[in-house]
Amino acid sequence: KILRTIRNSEELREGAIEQLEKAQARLRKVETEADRFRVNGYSEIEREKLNLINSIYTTLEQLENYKNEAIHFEQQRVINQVRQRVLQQALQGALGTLKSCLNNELHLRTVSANIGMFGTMKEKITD
Amino acid sequence: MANMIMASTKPLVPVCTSSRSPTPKLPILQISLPKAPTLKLKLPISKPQMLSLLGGIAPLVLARPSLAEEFEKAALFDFNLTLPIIMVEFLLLMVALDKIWFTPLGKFMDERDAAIREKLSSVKDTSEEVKQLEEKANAVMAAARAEIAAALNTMKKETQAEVEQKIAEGRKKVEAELQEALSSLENQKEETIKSLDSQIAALSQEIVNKVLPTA
Repeated sequence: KILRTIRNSEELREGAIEQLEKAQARLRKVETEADRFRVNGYSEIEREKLNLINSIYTTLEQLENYKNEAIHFEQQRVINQVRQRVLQQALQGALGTLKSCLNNELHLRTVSANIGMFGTMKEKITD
Repeated sequence: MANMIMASTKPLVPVCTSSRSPTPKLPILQISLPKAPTLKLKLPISKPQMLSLLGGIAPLVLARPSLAEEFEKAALFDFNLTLPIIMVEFLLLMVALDKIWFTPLGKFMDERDAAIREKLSSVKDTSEEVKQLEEKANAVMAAARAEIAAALNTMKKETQAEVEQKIAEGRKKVEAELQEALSSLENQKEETIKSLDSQIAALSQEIVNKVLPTA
């Protein structure tokens, strides 16, 4: 009975020691994995931080492009406005001049000029 | 133990308690010889046979004292002065065995029993230790995950705030630059229009000339 008890206790002890060693090995492995996970996590954090910072520069670049496009658009608009204004003023001036100069003499002179021009055209066609 | 020793002790010869002397009784062959002068008895044996028979009895008679002495010597003890001596010897033997053999054996057995119990208890403690190690392992991994998650959240908050601040500053700057550019453009427009007044007059005259040819 004593021998059997001793044998059983030895077997239990060996089993327990084996389990203990396995648990210790697993603990060491888990600690290693935790360290690796921690390192990878911090690397991921830094990478994400860089992405966010890069997004700042991207956004600023987009804003700069928007600004440039807006300025260009306004420049084109201003140029068009200036052209229209100049042309409008010129036309108004010309119209004013024409209104003040139109009379019978001018009418006859205009008709004569047109007759001469049409005659010249007729001669060219006949030849 | 004494009883065991007593029980294991067997006398070499049977002892008669009623007799004082342990001397065994030997059978004695009694031969009655007939009287020669008065009677004549015919024996079934002859003289030579009788002589040989007497020769056989003589050694027994002569050997009786030596045999008795041997039996006397072979006796283990007797109920006389040797009994106290035997008792003293037995007590001495008991004490010696107790000190030399039984006490060390008892100690050894107690130590072995204690060692066995300790091993069994250590087995039980080891299972608890295994459980603690497993819990510690899980705690280590959980702690690592929690640490990373907390660091990530903290970084996100700080970086997001920084990002928003910088973007706001950039947007503000861009808007200011844009407003400045637009103002400058408006000023340039006005200056351009003013500088083009003479050209406008020339253009007007040219239009009039186009419409009204000179004679």
